[in-house]
Amino acid sequence: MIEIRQSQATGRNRLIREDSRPKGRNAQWLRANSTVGSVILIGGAGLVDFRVRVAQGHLRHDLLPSFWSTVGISTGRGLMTVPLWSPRDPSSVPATNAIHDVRFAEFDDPERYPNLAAIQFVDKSETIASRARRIAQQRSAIDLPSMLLVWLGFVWGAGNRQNPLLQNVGLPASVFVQTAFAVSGIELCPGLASASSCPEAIWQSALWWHDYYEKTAAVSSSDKTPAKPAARGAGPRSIVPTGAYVLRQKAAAVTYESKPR
Amino acid sequence: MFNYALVPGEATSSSLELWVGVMSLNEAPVVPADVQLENVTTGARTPVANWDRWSVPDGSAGLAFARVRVGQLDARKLYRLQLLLENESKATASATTLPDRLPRQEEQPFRLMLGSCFCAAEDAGGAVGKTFASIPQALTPELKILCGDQVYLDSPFFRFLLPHGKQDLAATFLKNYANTWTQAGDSQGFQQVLANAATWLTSDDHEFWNNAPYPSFSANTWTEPGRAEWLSLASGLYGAFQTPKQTGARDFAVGELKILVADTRIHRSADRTTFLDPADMDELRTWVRSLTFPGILVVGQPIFDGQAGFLGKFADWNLPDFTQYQDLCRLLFSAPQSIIVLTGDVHYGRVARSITHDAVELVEVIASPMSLVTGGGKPSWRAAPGRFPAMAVPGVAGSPVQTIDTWQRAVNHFLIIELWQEGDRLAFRVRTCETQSDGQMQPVQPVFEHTLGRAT
Repeated sequence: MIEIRQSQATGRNRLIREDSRPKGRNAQWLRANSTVGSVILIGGAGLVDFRVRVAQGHLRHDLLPSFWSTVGISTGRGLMTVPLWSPRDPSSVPATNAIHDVRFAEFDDPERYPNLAAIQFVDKSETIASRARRIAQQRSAIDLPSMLLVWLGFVWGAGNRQNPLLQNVGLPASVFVQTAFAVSGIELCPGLASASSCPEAIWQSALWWHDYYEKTAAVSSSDKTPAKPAARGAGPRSIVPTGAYVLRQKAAAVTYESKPR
Repeated sequence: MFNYALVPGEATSSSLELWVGVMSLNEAPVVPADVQLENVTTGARTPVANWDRWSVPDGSAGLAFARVRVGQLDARKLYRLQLLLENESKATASATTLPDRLPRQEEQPFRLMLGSCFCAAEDAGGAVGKTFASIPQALTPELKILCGDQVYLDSPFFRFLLPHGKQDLAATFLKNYANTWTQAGDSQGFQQVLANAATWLTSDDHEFWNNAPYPSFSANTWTEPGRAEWLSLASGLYGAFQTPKQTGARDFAVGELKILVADTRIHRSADRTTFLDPADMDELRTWVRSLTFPGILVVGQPIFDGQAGFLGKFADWNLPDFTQYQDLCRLLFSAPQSIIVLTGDVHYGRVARSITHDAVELVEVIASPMSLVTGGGKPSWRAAPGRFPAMAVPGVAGSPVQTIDTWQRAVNHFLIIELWQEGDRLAFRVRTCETQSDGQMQPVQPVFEHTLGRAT
């Protein structure tokens, strides 16, 4: 079981709207719908995406697979994330804490990446992006490569790896994004009572925890215990999540297979 | 017949406060004439004045008590004291003044005892005092923090299933206190604990009744007048025997180490929104913000805990069941320095830690119980929730909690915490002193050792 908390909201967040007729390909849509610091959710149709989407079903009351297989922070032209696919140069992993900039163009194919979302959780989101970069040098604080190894073992079926989320090992991309917001005092997964961070948890935060973010915004503006000014004084403030999404593949399936070279 | 007790209270680096009590269970309390407190170490004598009294409603039993401050003492020096009635010794005590700075690495660490939950009736053999008396000299505590349930006024529980009159309640409570404060023997009994080393006492529910100030199984607590009557008696005794000021927050310092003792029980609001009154919460807030070095916060119940929820109505509400807990979380997450939280209540010992996203460390150390009262069943150990806070708190980005898994004991004990300073770091070591055997080997090595750096 993954320890989760129930939101008290009685309805979903209406500020997250579906784009049922997305224009253009994915890169164009992501550029049009995100700003620097937006949270980008992507749902893929490959085998690895499928396994990650199914693994997150434990966070849903209906146990259905998630729409999402990865998450990152928008840089305007791409996203900072921790990809599960092999980086071009494995030697770069230690120095970058496995964090990579991936261009939107790499997610451009709607058949390969049918689901997209771009969500704003804070007002000054560009600060989030700059603070996120620092995590690359903070492996002692958060060791993303160790999580990456666990997840690669799971998605490739290596050995007897079980679903990492059930062992409190979050998806590294999601742990990275959650931490990037947390250093600014923003909780991205209020519905999680464990360390099992994953894109589905962030998606549920956006959809069902708007009351929480409304209260957080109220607390921030009347805070009697402001955080250290140097750390957060001019930092981003929580807002009720707002954004857009595209769902072209609701039921997870492997409909995209790489062509052998 | 009168029983005498001498208990060191709060200390500074140059003074000691001594509590003097004369208890009488079968006659009216009498303020004795010609009572002196002798500092045996220096030979100085101080007349005991400013007596106060607490009596049962018909005056047939009670307590005469006074608090005497002995000043002009040297820092970190052990003093032996005795209570003289017409030059005859009636009670003895010893206490060490606080150091004026934290010891360095090469010096003997500053030693603090942490304990909670002591029921004298469940420790007929005086095991807690015996264990205390047998602590090796190098570990003898210089300061005690007893963080709640030093008496169980509502024990045994079955006795309170039927309502009691005010006189009966008062007499029962007084007897309970007197038995606890005078429990003695040959190097045993709780008096060994009370009479040696300065003491900071703070309350939890059983200084009043289970889940006080809210209704519980005791029939008297089912009505508001019943609770008010009980609370008045128990508060009077708590003020007489334990802590006179009954403020929610008291602080002191040992060099750079600041310690704040917060009583999270006595000012709980009827609507279960707050466990500290606004002034005390402000004091706590100011204290946290003022930290320039890791500090110690004492509270009555764990902060790494979940809500009791519905069970709170029957057992005890946890701190997270109060709205104010969210303010406490926000405050701790904005702390400029790491904080060690000392607490008790839960009937097991535990160390857990969480590092906030500002790299501030919160370490929670639990010592409970010294002598277990249970409604049945074996005590069991529980890990801390995986995240702090365990619930969604607006304005707080939670952080993972790591429970130290090498010490998972639910057995009668207290802790000795050694503290010293290594440059810009506060170093500490936690040792457990088990007061009964559960058939397993008790840990002889420290159960936790750690350092906390000064945040810049």
